[in-house]
Amino acid sequence: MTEHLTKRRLTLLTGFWTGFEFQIVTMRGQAETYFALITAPFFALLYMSIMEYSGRSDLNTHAVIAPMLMTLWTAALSFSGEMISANRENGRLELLLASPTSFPMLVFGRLCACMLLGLPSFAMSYVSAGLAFGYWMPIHHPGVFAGALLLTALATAAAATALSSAFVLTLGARIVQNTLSFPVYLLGGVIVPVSLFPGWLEGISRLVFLSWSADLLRASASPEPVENAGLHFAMLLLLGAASLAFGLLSIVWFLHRARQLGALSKE
Amino acid sequence: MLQPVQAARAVAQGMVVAIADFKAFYTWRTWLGAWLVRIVCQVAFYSMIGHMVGDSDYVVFVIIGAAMMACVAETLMTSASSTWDRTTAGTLPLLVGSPVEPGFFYFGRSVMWPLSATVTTSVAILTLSFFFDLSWTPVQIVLLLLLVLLASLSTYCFALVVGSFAMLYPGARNVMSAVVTVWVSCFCGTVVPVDFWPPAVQWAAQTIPMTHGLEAVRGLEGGAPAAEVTVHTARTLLSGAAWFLLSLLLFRRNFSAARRGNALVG
Amino acid sequence: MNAPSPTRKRPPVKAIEIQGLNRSYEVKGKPDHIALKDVNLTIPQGEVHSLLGPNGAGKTTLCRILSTVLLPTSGSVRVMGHDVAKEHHRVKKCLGVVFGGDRGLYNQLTARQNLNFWASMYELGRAQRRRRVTELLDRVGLAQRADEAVQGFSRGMKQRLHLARGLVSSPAVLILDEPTVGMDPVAARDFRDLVRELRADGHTVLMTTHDMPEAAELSDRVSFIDNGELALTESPDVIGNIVSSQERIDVRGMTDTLRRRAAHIPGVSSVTETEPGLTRIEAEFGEAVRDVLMLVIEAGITDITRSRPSLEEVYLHLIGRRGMTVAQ
Repeated sequence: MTEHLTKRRLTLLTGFWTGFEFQIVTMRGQAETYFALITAPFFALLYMSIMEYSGRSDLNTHAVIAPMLMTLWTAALSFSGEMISANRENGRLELLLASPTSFPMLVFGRLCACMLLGLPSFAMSYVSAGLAFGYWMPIHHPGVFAGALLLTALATAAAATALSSAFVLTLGARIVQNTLSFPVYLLGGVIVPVSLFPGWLEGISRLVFLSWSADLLRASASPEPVENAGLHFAMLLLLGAASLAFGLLSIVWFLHRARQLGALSKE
Repeated sequence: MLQPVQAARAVAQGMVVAIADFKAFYTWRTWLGAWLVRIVCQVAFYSMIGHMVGDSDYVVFVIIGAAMMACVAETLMTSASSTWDRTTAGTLPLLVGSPVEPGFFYFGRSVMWPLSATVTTSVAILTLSFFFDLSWTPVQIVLLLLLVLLASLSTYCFALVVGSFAMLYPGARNVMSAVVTVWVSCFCGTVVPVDFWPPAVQWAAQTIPMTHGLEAVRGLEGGAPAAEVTVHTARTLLSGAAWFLLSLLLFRRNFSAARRGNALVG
Repeated sequence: MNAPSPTRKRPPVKAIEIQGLNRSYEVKGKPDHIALKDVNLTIPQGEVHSLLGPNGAGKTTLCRILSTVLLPTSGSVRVMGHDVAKEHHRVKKCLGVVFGGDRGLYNQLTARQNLNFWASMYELGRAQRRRRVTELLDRVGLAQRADEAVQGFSRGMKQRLHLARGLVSSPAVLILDEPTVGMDPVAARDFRDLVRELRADGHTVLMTTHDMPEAAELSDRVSFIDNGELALTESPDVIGNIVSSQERIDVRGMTDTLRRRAAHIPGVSSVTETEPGLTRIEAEFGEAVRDVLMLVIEAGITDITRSRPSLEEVYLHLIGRRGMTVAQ
């Protein structure tokens, strides 16, 4: 029994690393990867212009951090949708499922690798704010910043894994991708902190992991000590883990359902 | 010389494909429940930023700007749909082999986007107006719809030029539309006035129909004299027409390149 | 090639055991579409088995069920003793799948990267993976092009890569669904050699095909499937005997008189001129055949060919000549 469990755990890990490695190899050679980054500097300019124009340069941090969070989420959405639909259209989905490795972990591993895009997108946003507006965002709490970035990346990949499960049965991945961008930016408080929202909206927003990430990342850039860092990290971890658990289980469930219906291949 | 009847027929044929594609893309439920909601959220997102940094006048400025920004984004889906004949449908060689005037066909081919954008943009403006105490008289609402329609169609003419390039590089269709959308959002007066930017950027922004379309809608909202609104509208249409002429030439060039054995139809 | 080691002491586990298998699909507003109806089939280890049938007969559905990506509606399906529905994880480990056509690869990756990925999906360690991938690329003749992106490959090359992909885990059982569709003749010949090697190594192969000569040449047994039902399972030779107890004699250069005389020999069922100068005589085994042969040899004719009905004729006999119609 324990041997079986160890083997199972190994299968999960193999899935994760196979996916992670595979995604890096794939992304390196694909123009689409770099396309995902290209809007970040423009968004930085757009948000910086708002702050500068309205004389609120005290909020510049918001303008620099938001494009990175948006890139992470957009990349997660587009890659998770593409992953299932492209595999299905190309006849690979069945082959993947016929192999012994955990498919849900493969998806999660691939999405985690996609999250590496967060770093260059932050760099681009940072540099464009610096070059165009002379604002070089300071990072006063690098530890908090790095920790928040890592957890955000993992939680984003986890949330996208949960979304991808829905793509197993439905072919409308593109609609979901197009739809879930701005509602999540809004509720995730990527630029306007959710604490400024009316109470009921803040309540809902607190269920979106990005709202905790955005708070932490912004706080790490300010000289004051980071308030409630522990709570924020704990919530980020909790929401990320919940998304992952939900994602993995729902993929398993959807796959089982698709096996019953015969909906895995597009014919 | 192309007869108006032939041109109209080419547009109509394009529209047949457009309607079919749109139906394949959305159902009523997904258009209303997903796409429209997303556009409203996009405008709400920017309105909240406006609310965080400025006064109520600025919020109104941003609501209109962000809604028109969404209109640009939706209209620029033309970039993708101009490549579908080449990529998914495989009908491009047949089109190239037919006597159709390509520019007119492609004008019909993606017209679902500006029409859909007219509705989503107007709904977004009116919805957010409700939340931020911005009121419109019935006459203003009718004029608003008309102005948004004209701005969408003019932007569409600009989007067709992008589409003619996307046809040559279909792999870059999404990045082209994304970059153009965010460029227009940044520099054409959606969230900060055009004169915030350096003169060269201001000059470039004048060529974009949306820059003038925004002025017209803001004029209408702010109770500017009718003459002023009319001038802005005329500029919108004029720049749209210029882009449309350019798109006619570019699509014709694409087709003749294809006939000469360019990889376009290979 | 690491051959699977069959257990010698206990009675060997059957490679594939299908009992009372049914599979139907729900169709909105219509009665369920029945893809497989009460299918029973047992394939011992080491057998090469071909599944023949027209498009839509249920071949691919059966392959999908065996490869665990589709659940049976009822009945039991076991691969190497493991149930495909309940123990799919164990089934996957002893099974390799090749779906036909040139789809199913990552086109932007190289051949080696594709195989590496799949080797890793089949849980091979790093060193083992490297060895196995190189070996397979060599075996399917792609070693020279191993580091080129697959998108530049011809259809035949992609199919060879597919085969290598299916073999990456040295599976005990290999499912090949229409593996030679659209393959050029040279590639198809290489493929047949490969299947022979696999059999020699002790692998069990279940292959679906339209290609009768291929099935006859490679298979230990063939099954015919039509409308979701298994019509017959036998060795290619035996099937020939079941369908016809007749022998066919093709003779070149018979005169009209000779043809008339042949037609009067007891036991001769037909004498037809299939093409100018070539006469086909169908006669019962034994005396009738002997009498026909004596007749033509005495007339000084030596251009004589004797043959049994081919698998293709059996197929047409069983499935019927339905032209281009696809079963619903």
